[in-house]
Amino acid sequence: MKLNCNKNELYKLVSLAERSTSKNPTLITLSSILLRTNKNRLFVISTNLEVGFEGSLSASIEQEGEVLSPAKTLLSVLYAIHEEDINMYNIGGNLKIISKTSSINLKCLPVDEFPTIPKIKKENHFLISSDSLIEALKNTILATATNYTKPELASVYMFSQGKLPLTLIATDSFRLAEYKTDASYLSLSILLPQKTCQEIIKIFEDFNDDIEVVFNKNQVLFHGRNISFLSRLTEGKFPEYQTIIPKSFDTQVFTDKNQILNAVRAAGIFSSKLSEVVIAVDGDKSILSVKSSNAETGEYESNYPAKISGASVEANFNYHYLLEALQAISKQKVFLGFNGPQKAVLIRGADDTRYLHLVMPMRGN
Amino acid sequence: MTNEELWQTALNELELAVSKANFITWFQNTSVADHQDGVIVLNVPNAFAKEWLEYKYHKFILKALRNLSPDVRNVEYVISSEITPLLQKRKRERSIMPQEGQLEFKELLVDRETNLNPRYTFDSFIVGSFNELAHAASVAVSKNLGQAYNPLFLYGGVGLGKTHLLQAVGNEIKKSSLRFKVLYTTSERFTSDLVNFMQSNEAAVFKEKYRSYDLLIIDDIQFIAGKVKTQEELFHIFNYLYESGKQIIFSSDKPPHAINDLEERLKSRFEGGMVADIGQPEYESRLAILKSKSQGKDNYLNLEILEYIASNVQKNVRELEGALNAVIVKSKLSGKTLSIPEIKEILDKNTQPKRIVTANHIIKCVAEFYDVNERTLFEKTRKKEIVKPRQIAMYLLREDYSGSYPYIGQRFGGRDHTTAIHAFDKISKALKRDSQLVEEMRRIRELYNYNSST
Repeated sequence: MKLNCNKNELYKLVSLAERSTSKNPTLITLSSILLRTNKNRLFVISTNLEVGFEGSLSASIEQEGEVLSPAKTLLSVLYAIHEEDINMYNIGGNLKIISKTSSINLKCLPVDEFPTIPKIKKENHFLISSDSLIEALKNTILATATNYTKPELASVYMFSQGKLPLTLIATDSFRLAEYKTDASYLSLSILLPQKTCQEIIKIFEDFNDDIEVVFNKNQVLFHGRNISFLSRLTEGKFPEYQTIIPKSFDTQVFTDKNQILNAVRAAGIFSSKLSEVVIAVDGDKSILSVKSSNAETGEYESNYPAKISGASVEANFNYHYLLEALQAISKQKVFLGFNGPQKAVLIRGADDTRYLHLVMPMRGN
Repeated sequence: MTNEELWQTALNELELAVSKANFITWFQNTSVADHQDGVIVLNVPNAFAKEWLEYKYHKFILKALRNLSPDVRNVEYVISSEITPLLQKRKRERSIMPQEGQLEFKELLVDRETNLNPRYTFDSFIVGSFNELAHAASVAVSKNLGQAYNPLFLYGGVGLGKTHLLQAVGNEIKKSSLRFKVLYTTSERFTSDLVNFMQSNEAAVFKEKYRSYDLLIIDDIQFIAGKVKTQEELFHIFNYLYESGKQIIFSSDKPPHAINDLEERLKSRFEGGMVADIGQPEYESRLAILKSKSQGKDNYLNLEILEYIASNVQKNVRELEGALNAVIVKSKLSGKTLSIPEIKEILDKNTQPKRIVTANHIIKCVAEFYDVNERTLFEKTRKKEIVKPRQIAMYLLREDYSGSYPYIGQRFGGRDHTTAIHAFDKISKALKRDSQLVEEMRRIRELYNYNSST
């Protein structure tokens, strides 16, 4: 292998590929990155057997070939090089990286130990814009469960049926987030592991292009211009969630997002050990209150007028949940729908039907 | 040699042929899925392993297997869902753990096929005299589907365990055999299902669907009152299932004949099997329920507290649980066992707000109930038929009007406050053992709640 390429582009791909390596593998090749040339492109490949990453950049290639380089070392070395223009070639079992001012000799591993990344037959596939996908993932991933006892809840559910919008849903059983994208697909029902979602967000965040999604029973492939990301899917069935989303509300509140966001954030300072804050809606006086008290640190209370219809209600919430839900709202005005102190509150942007968030209250006393 | 033994022996051989790291990475979590006509199908944990075994180790594997069993011609690999992927270690960056007291979406526990919540079982159901009959009938039905009582009709007030019993039957059946098709639904969902199917012109599919169940459970059937089309469909489905010996169970808040706007032919069918009611739990049952619910979380509880809750929260089981939970949460927060006055405060906040009554009103109602002259209550007589109403009136003034003891004493002909205390204690104790008195108390309270609301 002998080639010349842009270091910054290579560094970017290697840093993404490094995230998909295994951190303490039984098989040493799983913490390595495969560099392979093909025509005039250099491929950067890694896997931890859960996911597989493959990115490519253009390079002027003098001699085709491949090397398997330890991921951490390669990443650090590339970071340390200042020049953009680098030459690389392999000599014996080693990789030489030469820039104007530096020369590096990196010990590599035998290439034939590196696993092949499985291929998926292109039977089920659709296109979605990276913006839409990332936005949807970001807004739902926060509601996924953080433990793995129920893998289907530690995943984002991607669902589409006929002409209905492709929808992403996640819930940890205490809150639920639902985002409707502008894509659609005849019939789709897959569970993306939370970790996979995080990686997709990282990889395609500023991608600004369409992404092709190919899937089968066990795996899914996200394929962009020069990057492919393959992941296993979570086995199992996502619970029937539609019944959870309330259709009507006893109390409806329209208010300014930043106002309630700031109030909740401030109330968080004085929340109890249980992270509890109180939302009180006074339907008669049209006053929305956010309160908290902590025996050790003090009390907080904020009252301000809001557009309220329906009955008065007072419910307790974990303020982390409220905060995350409110932060995810992109509109200036938010809607809150209550059905008494024991039922979930629905939070969404006023006149926004794309995104909604449900938060279950805490048991009051 | 069984398939397992065959593969295990082959693995031992392969272990020697490849490096340890390779062996652990690729061969761990594999098993034999099938062995037919000389083709062995291996379960592998993921697509990477499938690819790698096929590409790299296929010859080794085939050779190892052939040495042991010469008839093996080929090996195939499938990705199996039964082998769980190795658990990943999670970064602790986003770890808002659910807190105590955080409520969950109950709907998520529900089985998608049957709508049953696995939490509801007979084991977790507490039997007392108030629900004995309903429980016995449900158990009988679950043991003898379609034969014992068909249909079974359970009725009773809110929060008394109807849904629990209905679902317990379903779960029991599901447990006994996966073959049975079970559906738990509410009459509202039944109606909206019908509407959906009718809108898409698939009424026949609707019929087909509901006729396929071995056990159909419809909760809160009283809500089909006035819905003519739903009643008609239900009538036909009922007949079909009944005639094919399939079990049907209904629940309602009132007995069939008391449901208004329900077709006569349905009423008579509902009554055709077994109608069982669930009443209000008496003190002993309430205490038993509290004891069972507090198991495992009774750090801050003692018998006195449970007795207090049991004697003060009387209406239904759900409220009872709510009160218990509130007490537990509060105790944990304050890190100590609560005193009775503190518990009273919590219960007052949690239970439904009492109607505001006046002292005069209470006294009047007591007098009216026991049919004594109001004025005689204030006299200094010790006649038994006067003493009891007087003490009850004192108790109620204390409990529902929150009068002070001196005030209560004063009120009843200038008696000492210790008299009031004595009356209160006496009635409190009596309430725990005398169910007759509890019933009387309930009816007196009904009297003034009723009167004050009109």
